[in-house]
Amino acid sequence: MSSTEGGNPAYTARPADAAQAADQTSSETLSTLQDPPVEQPLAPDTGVFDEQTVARARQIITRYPESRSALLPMLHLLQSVQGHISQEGIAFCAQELALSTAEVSSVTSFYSMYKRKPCGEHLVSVCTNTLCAALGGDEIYARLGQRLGSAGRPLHHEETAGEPGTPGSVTLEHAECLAACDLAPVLQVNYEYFDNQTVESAIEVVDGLRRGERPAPTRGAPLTSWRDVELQIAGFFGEPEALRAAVDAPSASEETLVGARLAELRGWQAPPMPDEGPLPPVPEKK
Amino acid sequence: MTQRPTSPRTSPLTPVLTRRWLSPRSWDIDTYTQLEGYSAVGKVLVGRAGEGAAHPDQLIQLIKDSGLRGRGGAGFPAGMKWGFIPQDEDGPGAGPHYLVINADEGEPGTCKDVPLMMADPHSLIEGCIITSYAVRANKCFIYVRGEVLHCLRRVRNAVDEAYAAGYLGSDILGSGFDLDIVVHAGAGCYEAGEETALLDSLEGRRAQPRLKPPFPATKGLYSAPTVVNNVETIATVPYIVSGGSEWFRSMGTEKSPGPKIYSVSGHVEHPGQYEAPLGTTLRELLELVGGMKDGIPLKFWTPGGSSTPLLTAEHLDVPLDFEGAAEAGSMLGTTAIMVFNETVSVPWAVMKWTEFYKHESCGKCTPCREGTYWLELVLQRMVRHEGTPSDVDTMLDVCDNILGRSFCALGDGAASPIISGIQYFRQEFLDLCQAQPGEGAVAQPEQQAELAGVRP
Repeated sequence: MSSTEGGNPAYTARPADAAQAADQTSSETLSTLQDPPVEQPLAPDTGVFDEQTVARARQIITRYPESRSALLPMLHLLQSVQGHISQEGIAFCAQELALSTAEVSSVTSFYSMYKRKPCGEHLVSVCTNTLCAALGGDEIYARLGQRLGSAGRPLHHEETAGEPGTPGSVTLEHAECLAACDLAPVLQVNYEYFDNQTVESAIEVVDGLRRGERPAPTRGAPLTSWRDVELQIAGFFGEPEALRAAVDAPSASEETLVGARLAELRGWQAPPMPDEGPLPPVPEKK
Repeated sequence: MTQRPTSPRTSPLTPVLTRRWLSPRSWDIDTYTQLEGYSAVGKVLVGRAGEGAAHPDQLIQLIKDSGLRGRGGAGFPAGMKWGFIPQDEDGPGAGPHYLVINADEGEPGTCKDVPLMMADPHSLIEGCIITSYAVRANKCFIYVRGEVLHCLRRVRNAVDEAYAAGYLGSDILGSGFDLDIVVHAGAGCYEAGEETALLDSLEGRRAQPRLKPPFPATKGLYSAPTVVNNVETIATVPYIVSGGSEWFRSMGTEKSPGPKIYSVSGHVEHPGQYEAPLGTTLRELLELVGGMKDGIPLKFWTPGGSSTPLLTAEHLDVPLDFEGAAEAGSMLGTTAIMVFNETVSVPWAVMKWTEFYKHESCGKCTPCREGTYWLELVLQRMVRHEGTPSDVDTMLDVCDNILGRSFCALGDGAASPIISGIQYFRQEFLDLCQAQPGEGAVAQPEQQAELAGVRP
């Protein structure tokens, strides 16, 4: 597999290309027919992705010695366009990477960040692993479910309050350990950290999101939308200035620095390095 | 309990990896270079006082001499791992080599690599350059967990800055050495932290472990010789190059030298990141973190994440290095110290961890896939006060069929909290059963009991 062979012109398949497309797979042919037989499903139309998305997908492929490595970031890219992984997206990846749709599908269903239903404008992930749960994470997750659900019907894992994709819509999920245990309990909105949460502070965050506000994360860049950050995760951070501004957004919590501060306060240091730490001689080849 | 005299050679905290973290904009290349950053790369690729570039084999020997052991959990000697890479030019060593950084931090309790990458990403980049040079790799991938977006930004920005400053790209510092680094985001999967599963994931597949041998050193990424190392391991390398192996060994213990970031979380007064010499005990760490929160006594803790067997208040003086933790019947893991006080039920905590392992089991091998599924059901039933005393033995039996019999260490990790939880707190599991049939308890469904191998 080379990156140059990865692209398949069939992504632009239109009625005029029906003859060539028909050879590829039986499922791809039908989208091009005027009156498809009713009992057969329509093939996904991979032409829904615009030129910029196609260009970005191919740019991802160039990062890797073998094109298949582009699959994970490419799926993130498509989520930024469509708000979830669609059948068109799966077919598109398969075409670009010369894989079968089954191979792509098996990857999308394996990883928890790929959403197979449309996601809200914002994704709220609550850590409910043991340590966060013991410090209140389970309670936070349960109360957010009630808050975002309707009377007697709390929101469950990966369900959305509001019409997915519309302003103020919020998808709730429980997450496994988010690698911020010293700041427990934590949640993330669009993968930016909200540390040391309480039920009250978490409710305030989701209430703000529902009202169309963008509460500030404790660590991470100002909130935009889940789709926008999926583009960043695919490796597209915008103009250099945009990346630099986001990079300088807050990161250091008191917990991160507490050990370093304590050492500074007490004057504790590692043993001093010699002026010139020696390198060993070149070992003899056996 | 084994007690060794703890090293009085150093102060209780030894900031090496964390020493720049307090500096304003510590993630910026200017801050990094002002604080001696990239001097180790200069020493390696250019040499000082006209002595010329270091030979790659010198660096492998240096890391072997330093005794640096992998910080990702297993503690494998890093220099030895590098030494396994075939170095010949026309045999198995021909063709590309790769360095892959495991930045997929997800072991419950572990939270050291994320703050490191946020606070000082350039130390990781500098370590990547030196390591790539040592193992003759011209391409390096940093596999960052997808959910830690701010880390991705900081690391990606650091890579961009390093390219602009001439530390990455072709002919770095005029040495003739080329290196490209690609920052790759994962997609939400604990198993991707296992090194061969990570390689499969990086190749665009499900993150499932590979059969070993062949090991990644000979057949890794794209079947080429590959070194996979943890973030903290590689970020330590520039300091060893600067200070030398003897300096590095002036911290820690003989078999576990060097400083280590201990992440203390849970019911303590000041949770956070504390960089101390390996071999520090929990008693010493508890002093540093201001003791147990609100003075409520310690009940159980993990030395290095949920996959390392639980320890108790009897283990406060265990030296937390690879040997000490193993002698105490646990493992050092990632030095992710989760501290739980007396208010927490052990069966409940074990159930929550088991739910995690069941969710994250990749499904490739039967013992782990089926075992974690049933263990979760048995534990949930027990926590609902619907278990029977024989459930305890059933769980041990299932664990016995997972531990050492699954494809990778995830299965072993799943068994750890259950076996150790029962070892130290068996009565607590039995008490849950004796509460039955209590107020509101539900009779145990017979069918489920039968499926779980329990005879009522």
